[in-house]
Amino acid sequence: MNSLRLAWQLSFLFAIATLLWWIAEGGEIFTKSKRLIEETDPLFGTKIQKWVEDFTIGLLPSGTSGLEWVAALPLFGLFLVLGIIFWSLERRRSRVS
Amino acid sequence: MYRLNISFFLLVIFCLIIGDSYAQTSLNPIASGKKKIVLTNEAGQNIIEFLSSAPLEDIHGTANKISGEILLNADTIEQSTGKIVVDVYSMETGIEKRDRHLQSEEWLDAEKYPTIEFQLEKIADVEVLEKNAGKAVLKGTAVGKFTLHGVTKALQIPFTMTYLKESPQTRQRTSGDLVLIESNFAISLKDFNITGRKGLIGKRVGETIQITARFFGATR
Repeated sequence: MNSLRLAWQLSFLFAIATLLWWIAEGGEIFTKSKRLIEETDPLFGTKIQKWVEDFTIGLLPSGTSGLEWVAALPLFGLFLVLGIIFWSLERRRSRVS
Repeated sequence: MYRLNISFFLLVIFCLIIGDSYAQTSLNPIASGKKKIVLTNEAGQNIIEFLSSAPLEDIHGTANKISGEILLNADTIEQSTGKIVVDVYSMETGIEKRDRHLQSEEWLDAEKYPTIEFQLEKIADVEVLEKNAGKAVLKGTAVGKFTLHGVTKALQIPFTMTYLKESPQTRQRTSGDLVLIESNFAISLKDFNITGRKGLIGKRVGETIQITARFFGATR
């Protein structure tokens, strides 16, 4: 088996593995959340915190953001892109030969 | 003569000690007598902010269902008492899933312990920072009992109080004199038997929680 074929097959395999890893971690793409903004009370001059609607990219089932999620999705993207590149190179080589 | 000087010196020391024990600070002339201060969102948004700092994550949260009363002794502030109650179900951290975990049996166990309470017994170290016709600002230490997760501990919490005498400006919010009490303090989760899920405290949840409280009330 030539090295380019091996390279794209392994890349796609790792891409599937990292995608499954991301799914297993319960990762979501967007989660509705809130964030705090600061306002000043005009009468007392004190600062108070208020919640406003927000979105968070990806969360673990525990409801906390996770390094595992952060690693899985970009790695999936990286392996997918590598797989496509190696596959394209292999196709071009086989046409030339 | 020497004995007289020593006696006088000892008498002065004695008076200073006794005087300090009976230190009395008042809000006169802005307020006098006993004032019942009821915490109400009409005076301002009552809120408790908490911060858990851990190596992997900082969690900011709030609790906004707060009730309570303070019986402020305007003539002798040190003798003020009261009670403040926080609804655990009103605690939120910006992520619904995390809020449910926070209220679960593993953490605060809201079903069994639905409130966090502070029973004020007295006020110590009172210092008036500002006092004029319509406003007084003072700081002190609230001495009392703090109950969280079914555990009650004696606690001394530093605070600052701003007292606004009723005016056309304050009446835009509600009737009565208005009060703002602000406080910053920290509690240890271990002290209140909060263990959480194994491995999280120290990594994702801080062992100590920083708390900022802002209580708005009005005299009734």
